Amino acid sequence: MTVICKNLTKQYREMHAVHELSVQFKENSLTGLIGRNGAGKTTLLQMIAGYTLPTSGEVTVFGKNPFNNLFISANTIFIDDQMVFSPELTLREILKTGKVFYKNWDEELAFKLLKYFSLGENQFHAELSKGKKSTFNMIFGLASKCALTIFDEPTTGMDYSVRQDFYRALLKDYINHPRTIIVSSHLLNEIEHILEEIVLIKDGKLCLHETVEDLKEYAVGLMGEQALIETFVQGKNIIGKELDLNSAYYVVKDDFSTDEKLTMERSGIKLTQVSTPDLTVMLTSPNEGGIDDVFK
Amino acid sequence: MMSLNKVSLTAVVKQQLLYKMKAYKSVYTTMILIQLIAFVFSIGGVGSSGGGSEFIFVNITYIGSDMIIIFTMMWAFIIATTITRKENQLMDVSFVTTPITSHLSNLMFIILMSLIGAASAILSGFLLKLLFIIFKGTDNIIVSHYAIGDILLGIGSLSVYLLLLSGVGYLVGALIQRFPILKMILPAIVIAALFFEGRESGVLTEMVTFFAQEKSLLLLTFKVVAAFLVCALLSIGVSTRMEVRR
Repeated sequence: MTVICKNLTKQYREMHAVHELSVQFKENSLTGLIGRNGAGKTTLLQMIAGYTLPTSGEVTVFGKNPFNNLFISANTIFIDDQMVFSPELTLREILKTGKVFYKNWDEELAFKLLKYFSLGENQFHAELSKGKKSTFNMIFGLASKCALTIFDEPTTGMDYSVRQDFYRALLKDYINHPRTIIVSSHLLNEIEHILEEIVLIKDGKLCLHETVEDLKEYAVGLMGEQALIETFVQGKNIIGKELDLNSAYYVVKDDFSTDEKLTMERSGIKLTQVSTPDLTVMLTSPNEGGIDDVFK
Repeated sequence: MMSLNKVSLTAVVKQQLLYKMKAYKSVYTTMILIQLIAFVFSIGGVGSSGGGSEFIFVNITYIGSDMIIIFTMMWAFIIATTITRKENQLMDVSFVTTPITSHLSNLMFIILMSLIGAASAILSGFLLKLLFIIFKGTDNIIVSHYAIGDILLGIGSLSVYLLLLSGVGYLVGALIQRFPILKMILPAIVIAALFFEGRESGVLTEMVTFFAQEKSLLLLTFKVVAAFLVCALLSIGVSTRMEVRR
């Protein structure tokens, strides 16, 4: 295991940004950390990167406490849109500096990507637009080839095609040089296809940790008459429901037996697969009901 | 699996120092600018006195780098304070760092700057005198001769004073980072202290005398290095458990 978090809590005044969270990130895996705004993604990642100290609980990276640890700093990189580079250095000079500090640095890749995304070698980091800044930081993160690479909402400000290119670059680079990569995002849609595992957090707590394959089978959608469905879902874990005048759509954790499913189908309930992005949205929805209830 | 790399503290400090010498270019340009301003102010002489009698009138103009030295001292204090700024700290975080390596490379950077600042200030004093000779001729000049040794002594003692000031400046900066409220309190304390010290000499005067009145360069160096180390340790001490805040 590259990263082990045990009962991790981070408290800011009264608020628990991360609460009693236990999660592990496997060596050489590409994991998506998914959660809504304020779910605690950044707080968790900053503790893993050794930037902040947990209020209680324990985090170990490569078997060590990451806080103020030079070894961890040399083998971990944390990329987000808040990265600060000297306003007096050009992009070229920053990349050259990266080579001095990071032993696995891939200079060729760095400059190729710089060119591909049409960033000027002589531009200054401070004068880049928001999206270009994110693009440059992403290049920096990929080129560092750190054994633990963390991207915290890396695509902030990037336009659609750059985001697609980024995910593709990330995947290709990961396949060529397997390492532990964590990518956080508030939505799963665009990154689902490159991920191996998904860690879903909600209100600072772990919601679920599954492989992408398992997550696809995690839940089942039931469509039909509400009264009829209710008879089958007694005691089951209902993840979400949408009610219309004469039909209902339930998303339920899939622990039905094959017989049960057959009976349901025979009685006129339509069974559907639930897309993982939809599922994560339902799993992390704040409480019963949705935005519609606000307008009732 | 990408390899896990072991790094040594000294190697990282060295890399950071080299990086900072490039990344803090504005520190040199500020120095040059400040010394140029002081230089322009000093062209007419930094001090003059006159007197005479019925038949003779004497006007002595003192040409020297005093103003440049005072400006350089202020520069040393200010850059040491600003180097502790959060932005600079975050710049380190983008590369391999810990608070300890970051402090050590900062401190080495300000030691280096003290030397450069001193050399530049002392030598520009000679430029000033040279300009005077070129434009006014040598007829009216009373000059004691300078040997290389004197120049080196000048540079040496000025860099020691700059080191002292930048050490104190660094501590002030580190304290402000740790306890932001000091930003308001410290200037008040300093102004108040100046008022009190103006009436009767107190701790502040004694501290200044302790360093400023020292005649032996060796003893002075010893005192300043000790003071610098105390400032450095205190600065590291107040900030090692600090989190990276963005």
